Amino acid sequence: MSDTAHSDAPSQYLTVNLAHEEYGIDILAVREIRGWTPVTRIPQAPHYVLGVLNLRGAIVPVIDMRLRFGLPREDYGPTTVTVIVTVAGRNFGVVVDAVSDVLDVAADAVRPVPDMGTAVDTEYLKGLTAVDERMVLLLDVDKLLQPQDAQMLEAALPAAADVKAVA
Amino acid sequence: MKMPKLKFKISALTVRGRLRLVLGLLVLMLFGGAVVGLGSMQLQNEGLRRMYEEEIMRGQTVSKLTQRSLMSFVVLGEAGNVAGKPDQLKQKLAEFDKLQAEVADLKKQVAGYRLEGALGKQYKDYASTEGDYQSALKDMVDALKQADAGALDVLELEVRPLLMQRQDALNKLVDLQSEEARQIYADQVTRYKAIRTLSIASLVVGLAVALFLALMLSRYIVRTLSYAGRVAREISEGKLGHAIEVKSSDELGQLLDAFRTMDERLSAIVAEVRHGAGAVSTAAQQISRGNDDLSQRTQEQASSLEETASSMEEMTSTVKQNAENASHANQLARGAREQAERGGEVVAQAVTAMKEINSASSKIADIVGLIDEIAFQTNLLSLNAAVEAARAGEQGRGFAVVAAEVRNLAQRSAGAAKEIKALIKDSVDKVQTGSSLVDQSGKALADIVESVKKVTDIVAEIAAASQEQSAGIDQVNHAVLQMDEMTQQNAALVEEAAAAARSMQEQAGELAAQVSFFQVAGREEAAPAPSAQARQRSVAAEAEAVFAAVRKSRPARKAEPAEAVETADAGAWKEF
Repeated sequence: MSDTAHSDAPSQYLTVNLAHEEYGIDILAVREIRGWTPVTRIPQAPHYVLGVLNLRGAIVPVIDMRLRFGLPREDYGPTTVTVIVTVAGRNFGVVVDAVSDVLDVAADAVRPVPDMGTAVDTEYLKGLTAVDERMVLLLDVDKLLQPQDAQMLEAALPAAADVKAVA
Repeated sequence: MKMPKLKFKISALTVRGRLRLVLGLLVLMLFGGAVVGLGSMQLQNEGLRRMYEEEIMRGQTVSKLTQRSLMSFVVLGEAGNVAGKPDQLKQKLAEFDKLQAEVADLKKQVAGYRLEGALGKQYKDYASTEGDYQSALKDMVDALKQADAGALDVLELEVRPLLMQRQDALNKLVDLQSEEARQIYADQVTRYKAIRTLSIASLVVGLAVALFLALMLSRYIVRTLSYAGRVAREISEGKLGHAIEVKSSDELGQLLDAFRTMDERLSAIVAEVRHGAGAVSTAAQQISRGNDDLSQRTQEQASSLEETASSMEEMTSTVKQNAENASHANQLARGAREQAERGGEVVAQAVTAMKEINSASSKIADIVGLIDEIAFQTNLLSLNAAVEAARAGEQGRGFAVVAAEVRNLAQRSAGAAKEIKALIKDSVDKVQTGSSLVDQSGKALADIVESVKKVTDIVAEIAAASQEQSAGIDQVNHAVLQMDEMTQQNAALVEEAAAAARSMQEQAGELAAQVSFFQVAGREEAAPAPSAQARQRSVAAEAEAVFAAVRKSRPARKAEPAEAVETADAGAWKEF
């Protein structure tokens, strides 16, 4: 998939809004887009992990992107959506302010991320692209979820499933 | 003695006093005559009484005594003749005893008389032989009872001398008494002559005095009365100013004094009337002039009153129109109020409609939200479809296109929903604004209604006031008409007053002519003239001042001169 992304063929990105900035998520990493529904909170989880979500029987951890990016949390509105992405075979939810579009981005249109100038830690970014004079930040989804977090979630998930079952 | 005193007093006496004096004198004379007559008659009566009681009665008694004594002697003699016949003797003795008893009675009567002087002496002579005579009689009777033959001798010897002596004494007594009676008669005749002389003399003197006094009195009264009559006649002929002297202070003097006072008063009055007539004439002229002025000004007043009346009529019509307009305005204001109230109802309905619109808008907003939600979900679905299409690769191309179209539609519907939402929001805002505006307009309408109510009230008050004004103006109009009428009457009265003033002038002249009938003596004419002339002048000056004041003052200052006129001529003008 990454090969194809680096080829001449344009790759598709799902653009989401976050704190008035537009981010692009590789559409192939997107599993599903769904409206915001309240989640079950997980104790001992990092602060940006909101909880877990029951996605048709599968327990999916949900991350708040704002908190993940160190932005102030805003109340969830009607446009708030949870984007289910698949990273390394594992699904997890990413809460963003809104989804806006599906964007075709040519490979040569992707610009490298400069060292400074954004509110986001650049290690999550793959690059930048300009679409109709607006900048779209292309997110590296693989780096969104830390491995230790993933492990911790792995451990916690069965308990959460039990709790969910009980609930 | 009496006459000089009367003379001195007579002038001081009143007529009544004099009459009383004369009458009193006559009464006194009458009374004196009566007293003298009665006294003399009393004296005569006394003489008669004496003659009857002392002389005739006694004389008769003594004569009776004499006769009874003789009878008893005769009876004794007869008894002596019938001494042999006891029956006859006894009868004669009884007759003798009876006669003796009568003699004893008569003796007692005679003894009861108080006899003085020669009569007393005579009676004593008689009485001294009583004892002898009685014893002789007793002897005689004893002799007769014893039937003594010598009884007649006893009678002849003892009784007869004694009897003769006694008879003699008694006859002398009777003679003496006759003498006395004659004396009394002579006295009476003498007294009568004296009284007659005195009465005639005093009657003559009294008549002379009374005649004199009556003549004096009547002369005095007649003289004074004729003088008074002459004065009265002269006064009636118009001659005044007599010099009447009053000498006495009696009734006639008072009468003359009254005539004198009347003369003086009449002179003064005539003089005053003469000058008063002149003054009245002058004043009448002044009044006439003043009346002319007054007439002119009354006419001016009448014309200005007519102007006022016409102005008042105009004003009346204006005020009536005003009142009609006010009532019309009142109706209009009432209509406006009703319309404003209706507007308020409409506004309330509008508010209700706005609220309904608001609720409908919120429903629309809900529906739009639903649409938006559907669009959002559709968008999500289309995105999911795009994701699936991307996963499908080449096979998903067409699906991707469809998904893009669906997403496009969803976005368009979302945009439309957003627009609708904005529009709805806008319309809701506007509806709210409108409803607040409608509320305000409702309040404004309520205010308008209130104001219109006030306006209605005020207009009603104006209408009522206008009507009152109209009524008041009617009254004023009426009053002005009355004033006009009264001014006309005043004008007529002024004419009458002018005529009366002229008549007064004429009558003053007539009065002067009438008064000229009286001729006042020169000295009295001059006396009251200055004061009368001065009064005349002062009257003229007063009248002139009043008229000057009246002429000077224009109608603007009516009250003052009117008062002046009233005070100056109050009595004169009250009559008109």
